[in-house]
Order: sequence, then structure tokens, then C-alpha cells
Amino acid sequence: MKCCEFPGRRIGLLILAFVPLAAAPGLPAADAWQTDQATAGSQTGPAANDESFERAVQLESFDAVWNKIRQTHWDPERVGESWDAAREKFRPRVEQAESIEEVRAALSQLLETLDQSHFGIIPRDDYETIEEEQSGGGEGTIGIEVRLLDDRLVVTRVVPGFPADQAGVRPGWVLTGLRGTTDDEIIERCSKVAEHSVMRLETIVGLATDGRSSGEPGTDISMTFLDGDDQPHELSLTLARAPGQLERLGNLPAFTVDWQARRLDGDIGYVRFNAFIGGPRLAREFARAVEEFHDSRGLVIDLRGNRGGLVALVAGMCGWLVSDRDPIGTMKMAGGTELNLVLNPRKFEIEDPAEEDGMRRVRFDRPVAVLIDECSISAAEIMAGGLRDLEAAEVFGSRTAGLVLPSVVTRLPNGDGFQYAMADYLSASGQTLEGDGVKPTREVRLDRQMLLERTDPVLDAARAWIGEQSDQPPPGDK
Amino acid sequence: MRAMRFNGMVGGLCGLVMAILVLPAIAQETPDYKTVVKDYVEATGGEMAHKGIESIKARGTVSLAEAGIEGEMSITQADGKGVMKMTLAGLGSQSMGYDGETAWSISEMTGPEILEGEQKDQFVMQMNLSPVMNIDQLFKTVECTGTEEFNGEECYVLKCENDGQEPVYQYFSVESKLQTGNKMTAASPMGSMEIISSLSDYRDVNGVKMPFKTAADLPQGMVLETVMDSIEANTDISDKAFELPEEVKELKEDG
Repeated sequence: MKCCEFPGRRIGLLILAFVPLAAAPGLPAADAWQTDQATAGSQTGPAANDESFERAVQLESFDAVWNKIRQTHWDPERVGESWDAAREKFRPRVEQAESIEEVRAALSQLLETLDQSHFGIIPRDDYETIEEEQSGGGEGTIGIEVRLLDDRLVVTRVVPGFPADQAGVRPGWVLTGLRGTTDDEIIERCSKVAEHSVMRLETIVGLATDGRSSGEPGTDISMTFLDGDDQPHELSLTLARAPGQLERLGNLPAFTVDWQARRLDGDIGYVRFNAFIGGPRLAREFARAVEEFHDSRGLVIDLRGNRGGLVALVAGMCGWLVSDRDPIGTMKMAGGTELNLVLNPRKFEIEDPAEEDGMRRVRFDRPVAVLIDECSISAAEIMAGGLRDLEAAEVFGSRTAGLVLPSVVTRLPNGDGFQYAMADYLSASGQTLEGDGVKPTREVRLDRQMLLERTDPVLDAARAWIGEQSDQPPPGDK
Repeated sequence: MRAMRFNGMVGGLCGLVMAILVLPAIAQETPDYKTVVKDYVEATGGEMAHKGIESIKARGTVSLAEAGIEGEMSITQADGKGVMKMTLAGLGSQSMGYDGETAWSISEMTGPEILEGEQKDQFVMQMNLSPVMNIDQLFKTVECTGTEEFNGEECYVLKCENDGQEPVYQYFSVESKLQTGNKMTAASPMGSMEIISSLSDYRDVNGVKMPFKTAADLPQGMVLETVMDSIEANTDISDKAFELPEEVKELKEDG
């Protein structure tokens, strides 16, 4: 007997595949500096006497945030009486707000009471600015990364060919001034943010200096440095367009995703990417890299400064590096639902004259080193922690940010974005990564002198380890 | 948010007393599940019209509106075989299929997989062109447990069970007799999760009423909505449409 039913009802199983779309880049990626300014109440958006500031819409937005968290948070204690009390405290502030910044400040303070990552407000201007720039690609950068080392702002990476590199800036130089703000002032401001943030000071400094040294391509920014001999350098650098491709994912502001893959000296494969967004493209790039480097001595996956993104993409990439269907972690959601992020082991074809058709399907079996630091966030932490726990990789560098909660971003009635975590996350070993972050299996404690002498001590350590493994079985159950 | 209110779900002694009190009423008003199925078939066009449909080709859009994610989907079904494909912006494509022997899925991000066990069973069941009419073949036990409010409508509830698996609940409007939704614990490699789907916007396709809109509640507190632009019945569908993709064939060869 043949007859019909509606096909649409059958999407139930298909949608499961998209469930782990969580773990968008943490709001800290937006810019720790902005959070500080919003809290301080600076006013750049519509004010209460502006037609675009409709108080009813602002209150509706507050209620939407409060209700969504009450509905979806996995920990009943956090959204019990204390959540009711937070509403009583902060809703009146929205009722009395004179500007959109005050509304955002009240909402941010409401979310801070949760003391967890991936809860935050994204100003609607962030969407508009990036949408205006979309035709040209990414935002402007001078091409450096700065980290807090021994209470100083030290350059840890200089991107070859970018303005800082062209001006002679080198790893190990100390940043002493940025756009008229001294290093002491930067550290002090970041310390204040850290007092009411789930982020560690080191993470805030890394993100804030990145945000302050970015902007519209073509903009001149002033910077002062101390070089390796402690000689001062005063530079005016013009922001160049960041490398990469602008990628979009739902309500997240567009993000420029840069993918690099190359073979290092010593026959070691190396991949680096700054976010897990642009899922299909990055999935293809990663697959191509694994295949290309299958005959190398090992693979380095550099997740330093990676802002996170799709958990499904993490699972997809890790599938190329394992041989068993193990979970890299578990999401614990409201109502007791637990979802395991199970890996799907992958194979690829290589030429093999011994085979009848000249091809053989194999797994990647080279040693894998993952590089992390305090600005490795969210999905990047999930990947590093998962591969570490499954003993599928050795992890080098410093502890990650500890901002891992899977989240989604929606738009509020007032046009702002609202990011909320909807699950707790446990790594494969059962460890909660939120707050603690991923500890490397081989810590490399950076200092300025080391950077001046060796440029990239973390990568050097990984390369040395891969070299040692070349005559031994690779780590993990391959 | 769709509301679901369960009758008589009260704990302890209070629950027992209530159950006794409402029992005569339920016994009087609850029809046999076969009546619910028969009414549904009649309301959607009658048995002859249903039997006249041998294949389905459907296209539509999908959206996770709250997350700002949109995409397209298509479904092709015939002879118990089927292929579904969904593409969401920024997330890539995800396909699932069944060729009469092997059930599979391919994700652009995580690769091909062969579905086994309960996951396969559920997918094969979904590829049945008439799961309501064939309810006796698909489930070992079916019973009408009474009425509940589903999506603001009073509905008969069919509890459908197979050994060792979580029950599937199907909801049928008392008034219109149409199916308004279902609740199932979907199996996946990630674990089980409850998905509640509502069906609406019934339209005529070759003499049979079919819902063109589905809204599924996801565990993240979001709703995935599907709106079909077209559903065509009895078009030519080549067997090639259900052939295993190369990646799945390779996976089978790998063992």
C-alpha cells in the first residue's frame, strides 16, 4: 500500500546535525574596551529624547533577555531567586535610562550576575559597521599580537609584510603607548574590567590591545615601543586590511576569517586560523591540509588568538585526527539533556602503486601539536582540550581563556545582538573548561628575552617535539 | 512557544485520586487509536487518494529565525527510499538518505556516516510515505491515551512504541482530525534529545491534504521552521536519486 504523508515532518533527524552550532566566539571578542566604556556610561547612541530610543522597546529587550535565560539556563540555582532579584535591581535602570548606552550597561550588569562567559550584548552598530565594510573584506590591522608578560605589554607575534613588520617591530618589543594611551593606563583599565568580568586579565589585555590597534583600513594610529635594546620608537602606522575572507553566521557580526597552511622547515605541516567560522570553507581547507601533510613529520595546529566559532566544525576537524568514535566533550543543557560531541573518524586517499586501482585510503597518522594561549577562546579551547584528553595531540603554550560555554546569538527588539550560553560544557575527561581553560600538556612560559632571541618559542617547542617523535609511534590511538 | 499541557500529571496520592476521578470521563471520550487514524485519513482526502500517491518531491526553506540562520531543503521519496538535503548559510549542507538497505548521512563539516540501530530505524520510519496509515506496521503497540492541549488545540494523543525505544507521541486535532504535531526522542550519535514538532498550513496535493509548515523545538530553546514552497506527487523519480553517494560507498568498503 502506497500513500502519502507530509515530508516536512521528517526533518526531525536531519536537524540533529545542526544542533551543535553553539559556541560562537565569545563576546569578549567584540572588544573588552567597549565593555568598559559602556559600563562607564559613555554616550554615542540614541538618547531618551531621540525618536529612535523607544523606552517600551528597551524594556521589551530587557524582558526578552531575562526570560530567555530563565528558560534556557541549565543550572536552576543561577536562574532562581537570585535571577528574580537581579531583575528587580536592573529593570528599573532601563525604565530610567537616558540613552542606549545606559540600557546596554544595565543589561550587561544583569548578565554579569551570572558570572559566566558567552552572555552579552552586541551593539547594533557593530553589525552596521561591518556590513558597510563587507565589499572590501576585513577590518584594518597593523599585524601584531600583544600579550601581558611580567606586567608589560610585549609583542608576541608580528605578521610578515604588514605595517608593524615593515616598520621594523619585532617579537619581544614592549608596547608602551597606543593611540595616546600609555601601557600603564591600558593595564589599569583592563584590570578594572577584570574585576567584574569572567575573563582573566591576560585575556582582556590581549583582546583590548588587538581591538585598539584595529579599525578602518587606511587609518593612522600612533604607537610607541621599546626595542630589544630598550630604545624608544615612536611610530605612526597605517592600518592595512586584515587578510582573510569575511564570513557570516546568523546573528553574529561578520568576521574576517584568515586561514593559513604551509610546510615549515624540517618538513612539518602548519595550519593557523583565527576562528571556526565559515564552516564549509574551513572544513574543506582543513581536509586538504591533512591530506597534503600526510607525508610530513607532523602537523602543528596553531590556535593562539583563535576566537572560536562552530563546535560542529571542531568535531569535523578532529575527525581527521582520530581513529575511534569518541566524544571530545559533552554539552549539558536545560532539562537534563546531554549531548556528546562524538567524532566521526575520517580517511583520505593516497597514491599507492601496490593497490589495484593505485589508491589507498588511510588515516592521518603523524604527530599532532596544538598551540594555545590566553586568547584561544571557546571552540578553540574545545578543540585543544578534546584532542588533549583523547591523547590525539600534544598541547603547547599557555592556559586558554576559559570561555567555553556553547552559545547562540539572537537579535533583540531594540536591534542589538544578544548572546547567551545554553549549555555547560565538559571536556572528554569530564573537566569543566569554563573558567579554568585548557592547560597545555607542555607549558611554554614566554618572557621577553625568549621572544627577542627565538621569535616563536612555542612553535619551536612544538617543532622540536615533532622532531623527537619522527622515529616513534605518534601520540594517541591512531 | 507552543504550549503542551498534560492531563492528570500530578504526583503522589493527589495524582492517584485525580486519575481515578477522571478515569470514567477518559474511558468514555477516548476513541480507539484506529478511529483516530481513520478520521485522519478521511480528513486528509480518504484512503483512495492516499493510495494514489506513490512518490513525493518537495522543496522549501528552513530557518532558525532566532539565530538569524536561513537555508533551503529538499526531500525526495518513493518506495520507502528517500533523500533529504538541507543547506543552511554558514553551516553548509547536511544530507540523509536510505536506499532500501543502507541509511546514511553526510555533513559538509563532519563527513559521511552510516546510520545504525535506533538512528537508522527512526530514519527509515520517516521515509515511509504513510507513517500514520501504516502505523500498525511501524510500531509494536499503539494506543490513544486521551486528549491534551497541543498548540492551543485539544488533541487526541497516540502513544506509539517499539521494544527498547522511547515512545513517539502523535497529536491529532479533536476538531479537524488533522495531525497537529508529534513528540519524539530522537536518537543520534550525540545522544538522545526530545524534539517537539508542530504541523500546520495544510494544502491539497493530488487530492490529499498535506501540511506545508513544520516548526520543531530544538534543545537550545530555538525553533527550526520549515516552509515548503512546493510538494509534488507522482513525478518521475529515477532510482539513481537514491543511489548511495560515493563517500558512503567508500565508507562501506572501509568496513
